[in-house]
This record gives sequence, C-alpha cells and structure tokens, in this order.
Amino acid sequence: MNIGNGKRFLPEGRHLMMGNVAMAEGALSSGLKFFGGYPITPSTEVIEHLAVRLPQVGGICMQMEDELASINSVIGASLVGAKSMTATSGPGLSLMVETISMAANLEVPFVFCDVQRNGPGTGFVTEPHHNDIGLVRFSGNGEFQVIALAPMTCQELFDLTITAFNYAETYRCPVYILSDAYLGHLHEIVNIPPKEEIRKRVIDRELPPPDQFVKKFTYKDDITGEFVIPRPPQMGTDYCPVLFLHQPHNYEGLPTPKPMQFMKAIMDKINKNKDKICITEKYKLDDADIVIIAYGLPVRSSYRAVDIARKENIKVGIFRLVTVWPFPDKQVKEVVKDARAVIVPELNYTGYIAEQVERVTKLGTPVIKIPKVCEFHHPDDILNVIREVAK
Amino acid sequence: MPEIGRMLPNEKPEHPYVIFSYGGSMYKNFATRFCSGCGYGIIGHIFTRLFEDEKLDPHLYPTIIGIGCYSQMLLLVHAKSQKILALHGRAPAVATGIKMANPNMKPIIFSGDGDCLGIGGNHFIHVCRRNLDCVIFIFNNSIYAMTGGQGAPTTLYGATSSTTPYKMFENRSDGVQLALAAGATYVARTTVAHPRTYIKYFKKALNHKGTSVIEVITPCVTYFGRKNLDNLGAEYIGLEGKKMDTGGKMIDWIKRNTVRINQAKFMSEEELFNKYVIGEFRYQPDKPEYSEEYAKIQKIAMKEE
Amino acid sequence: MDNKEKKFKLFLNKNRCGGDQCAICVSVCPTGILEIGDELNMRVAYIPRVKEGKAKYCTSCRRCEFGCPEWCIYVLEEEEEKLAEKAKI
Repeated sequence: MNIGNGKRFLPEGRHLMMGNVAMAEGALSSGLKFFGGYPITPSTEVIEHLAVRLPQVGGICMQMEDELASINSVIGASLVGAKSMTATSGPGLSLMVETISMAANLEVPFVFCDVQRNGPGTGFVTEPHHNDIGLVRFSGNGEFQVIALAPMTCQELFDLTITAFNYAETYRCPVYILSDAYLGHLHEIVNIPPKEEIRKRVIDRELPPPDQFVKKFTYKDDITGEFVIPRPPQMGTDYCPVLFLHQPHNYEGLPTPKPMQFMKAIMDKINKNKDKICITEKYKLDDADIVIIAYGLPVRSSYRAVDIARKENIKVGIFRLVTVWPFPDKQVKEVVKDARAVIVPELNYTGYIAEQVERVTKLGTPVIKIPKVCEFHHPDDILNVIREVAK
Repeated sequence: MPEIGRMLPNEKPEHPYVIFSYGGSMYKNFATRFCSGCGYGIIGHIFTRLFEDEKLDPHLYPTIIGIGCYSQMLLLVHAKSQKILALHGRAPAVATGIKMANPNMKPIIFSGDGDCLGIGGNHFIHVCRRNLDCVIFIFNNSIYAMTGGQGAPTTLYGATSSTTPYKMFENRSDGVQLALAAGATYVARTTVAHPRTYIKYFKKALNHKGTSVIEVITPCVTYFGRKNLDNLGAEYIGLEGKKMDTGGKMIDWIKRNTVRINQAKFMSEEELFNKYVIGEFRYQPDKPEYSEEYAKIQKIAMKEE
Repeated sequence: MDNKEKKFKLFLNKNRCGGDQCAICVSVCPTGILEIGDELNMRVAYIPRVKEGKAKYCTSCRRCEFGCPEWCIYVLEEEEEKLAEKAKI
C-alpha cells in the first residue's frame, strides 16, 4: 500500500483525507515516534493508518492488549524520549484516567486524541456527542491542568495536532485533541504546507545543555517569580531524575515535604500562561451585540446562521474557542461585557462550556444553550434562536 | 528520605555493598524499611550486589517497580540504576513502552504476586506472549502485605489472612504455569532460602534474549507467618503446626515446603498440594524476540517506497 | 563479632539487626553456630551471637551474609577488611 511515500512528510499540496488520517499525518509531521493504541470504533482509522506509516519512518506503532496498556506504554515511551501519542474514544478515556493523573504528576509530555462518541455506556457508536468535555478536564484522581484543543475541519486536525505536540513539549501536561465521530470520518481537502515550514514550527525533543541537568521538573523561579518548565527528562541518559515517583516532588524529582509548592507548580504552569496557550477566533464580532460562543463542529453551522442574520441586519457575531481547556476567562469576559445575549450551541445536553460562560457573564445577560445530541445544529436552529433574541 | 539510616551509628568496617544502594549512598549506613525477617531485604541486596558485580550499565537496565511492599526497593536498589514507580499492576505495560522506544534497553520489572497475577494479569500475559526482552520478577509472599495482609491470588489453600479469616478456600493461581502458557521463553522459580540459585537464574535472565519470568518465594513474617501454622504444606502427614512468627521459622518452612522440579515428577498429586516447585521450567533462547521482529517490519516498510 | 585464624572475620552490625523476630542467619547457618543472645540493640531486639567455642566451625560459606535482609552480618577476608577500613566511610 502506498498511502504515504515512505517519508515522514507528505508531499506538499492538496490532499483529500479522512479526519482521523489527517490527524495521524499531523502527528507524523510533528515527529511522532511511538503510538500505543487499542481499536475502538470511531478512532480505529488512526491506528490503522499509523500501522502503515510509522514503521516507514522508523517509528513504532503497537496495538496493545487494552487501553490501560496502551496509555502506560505511551508514558513509558515518552519517558525514554520518544514523542508518543494514543487515540481512543469515550470508554477508552475512562479506562485511562488513572494513568493520565500519574502522567500529570510526572509531567510526561504526550498527546491524547479523543474521538468522542455518543452517550454514557456504549451509546450510538458512530454518532458525535461532545460529552467528554467534563471528563477531559476533571479526569483522574487529584487536581491537574490539561490543554484541550477542539478542531472543526480536517485541515485544522492536521495543524492543531502539530500545535498539540508543541504544547505537550513546552508545558509538559496531558494535551487532548477533541475530535468526534463525524469529524474523524469526514473526508475533506487538506493543504499540506512545505516540509521546511512544518519543520520550523515543530519543537523537537532534545536534551538541555549539560549545565542545566539538575532541574528536571517545573519550579518557581524566585527572581522572576514565574514558572520555569525545563525540558522533559529522558531515561537512558544522564538527564534523568534518580527515581520517577508520582508523589509531590521538588524540581529534582525527590519527594518534598511541601506538597502545596508542588501543587502550585503543576496548576500555575498552565494558569499563568493562559494567554500564551489560548487560541480563539472572532467572526463579525466588532459591532455585534448578540454573541455566539462555540467550539468544534457547531461553529460551522453558526457561520451560516450569522451570515443570514446579518442580511436581516441583526448584529450577531461568533467567538470561537479553539482551546476548550484552559477556559480563556479574560477574553470571554471582554467579548461578553456589553452583549445583549449570549448563545452557546453545543453538541451535548448539559452544556459544559455554557456553564463556564455563565460563570463569566454579568448577571443580566441571558446565556441561551442550544443542546443537540447525536446530530448537528442545522443553521436554522441557531437562526430561530437569534431571531427570537433579536426581537 | 530515610531517616533511619542517619539515626543508627556507623559500625566499624561497613558491609562493602551498602554504599552502592541508593539509601546507603546518601547515609552510608542504611537500614531497609521492611519488617525484620522479610524476604524483600534479601532480594534487594542481591539485586544491588549483582548490579554492582556485573557492572550493568545503568542507562540500559531501567528498573520498573510496581506497587507493593517491594516499592520500598526504590531506596534499596543500586544508586545509579534508573528507577520508575509504575502504577499497581501496570509495570509490564510501562516496560513495553520503554523497551520499544529504546530497543537496546532491557527493563527489569519488580512486581508482586497480587501486582502481577492479580490486577496486572492481563499485561503480564501479553508481555510474555510477545516475548519482549525484559526480566519480570514475581515476588510471591502469597499475601497483600502492604495493605495489611489480605488474601492474594497465590495464598495457599487453608491459610488465614485478614480477608480470609476462616480459611483460604479459593484455588491458588500459579505464576509459573501462567507464564508458560502465555509463552515466556525463560521461566524459573526460586525462593529466598536459596539465594545462590536466585543469583544464577538472575544472571541467566540478564543474558537471555526474550521474556524471562522469575518467581521468587519470599516470607512475610508479620502478616503471613504470625497468622498461619507451619503445617501448611504438610496436610497429608497431618502434622500439628506451630506459629511461624520469626523469619528463621519461615525460612525453614519454605525449605520444607519447596520441591525441586526433578523430584516433583515422582511425587503424587496429594504430596504436591500447597508445595512450591522450584527450578527452571523452560529455557528457549532461540525464540524470536519482539523488538527484533519489529525492526524487521520497519526494514520491510522502509524498502516498500 | 568474632575472628578466626583462617584469615577472615565475621562481623555483625549490631544496631541494624532485626534480632529475634528475624533470626534468619540463625536458621540458615549450616553448621548452626549462631544463636539469639540476650544483648539488646537500638531496635530493641535480641541480636544473635556465636555459640560458646563454636567459632572455629564457621566455614565462611556466607549463607548468613546472603540471607540477611539488613546487610548486618557479613564475612570480611583480611584484604577485604583492610579495604573496608581504608574506605572508612
């Protein structure tokens, strides 16, 4: 089979690709070396594609015996210095949460692709349902911060995977890509940039200069006061702590009697860098008094709804969240400051992000949820709500 | 870190290997945190002694330690070896990731009977099935010792523990047979009472290409010895047992209760009940090893431009 | 704890020893020259000692050294002992 040409980077230009395959190619061009996965319905194409492509570039693609083994082998590989990733869906994620909380303690960089599917239990296996948003943020025992990106097109699946790997390398925390059953199986045109351009964007995994071998975990720099995140340690080299212990530890990896200092290090390394991490997009928002806040696929149907509403000269705009977690409080607060109403179309019933938006909006402005499960927001659904609010 | 090392005064000529253990390298006089009479201290020392005598390169032999009483071996194992504490039962899975990411490494996995045959059974079976190049130790003290002496998959029939107060009625699982069935290519069982055979098997496992599973029977005095009589393996004689409340009595019980593999052939089923059969069960050095096979796959994939 | 004219010495690190609850060296010794004494150490345990006049039967087989969980009892050859003395830690 000659899907890729045996090289790590696809030839430059336009390709027709499935969402899952685009994400796999994105991972490959950002230097993926180890993939441990387990087949689960919406995300099997990822492991199938990587099983062909990874050996071509000298990487390892392993289908493990269960999800627990796949996430643990990903942690093991990442500790030895191999960029690693796993892809699963809702039930797989709920099996892997214990290991993710261990990885957050050891600050192991890895990328986690969650192709979400319907409902609690098995659910409709091929239907999209953004129900893992809460599980992604609050998964695993203990508190830790995660970064979650929500692409909406196959092109973004390719680009955001490279961003996800860069975030994993710099912030050394679990990084999620929240695609879903439709986006994973969607075939779209993906423009692959030239090789040099990608290579410039990718942050490689290499050791720091030998004189900085002492500090291996996040610590608070006393002079400047903000958090320094060193390069990830690698087993098999001298840049390795004496023992990888998932207990509160100081910057050298030894257990510390001050767990609060460790907790600050894990949590604030993301909270303090929110403006560097959060990616958001605006669409016709400058004079809008009704604001639509959305992420993932609902954004595409709300584009159409906004265009029609603008023709009926209703002032409405979209504020799109590309990084769902950490939730960009500041930016959302500015956008929603003088809005008459806020509409949050979400592909789940409880409206996880709608609650976050309510937390940030003033008491007066109403936040209207448009819940949809297993199917898409038709532009008319959003349009009717806009018209009601505009009256 | 261990305060007990600093508390005790340093004796005249110190034991030559204390300096190499991690705790010893910091305090020069390190006492293990295990209960007195426990077998894990013996295993940790023999590992450090071998790590030092064989001059193992610490970059190539990471130790992956599961969760259990032997997690204390992080302080006892050789100072320079690179150690990672895995989750309960997930040590073989972490070792797979480590081995595949860096094929010239040979991970050494410490796991206990509950850790390896209980919660981590699935990972253990599949690592043996793949014949991954690693050394898996199963420390069988037939009890969940760290959490207070509960019954384990390998608790002997008729033994009492905190969750089997009347009698252990379940059939016990056997790590060696499980490894043989799963396809490990070097399987052996030994006990702490025979440290020389333990050293021999460990050296052989280090040079063996493939999964080597070594089950080590260790005494647990505080939770197993004190609660059980020493006629456990001798039901057919109808011996009247006494409590095994010291390390020495448990070592004697282990010696009485182990049967060499050649002798086991001639013993009847009734005599072998509740006995440990020690020896080398399988040694196939020429079986294909997983990471080499995968290297061949990579060659095939790269040629197929 | 004791020495021999066969150029080796048997040492016991008194305070680290597990004492009577351990007593592995007592049961492991093939010639049975060890016994639990009545001297208490810092871990409040009765530590072993060589039986009266049985010192010469020790063959330095090191079973007690390999069997001791606390690295307390060990046999040092003459040169080794100097080495250990020199490397006074």
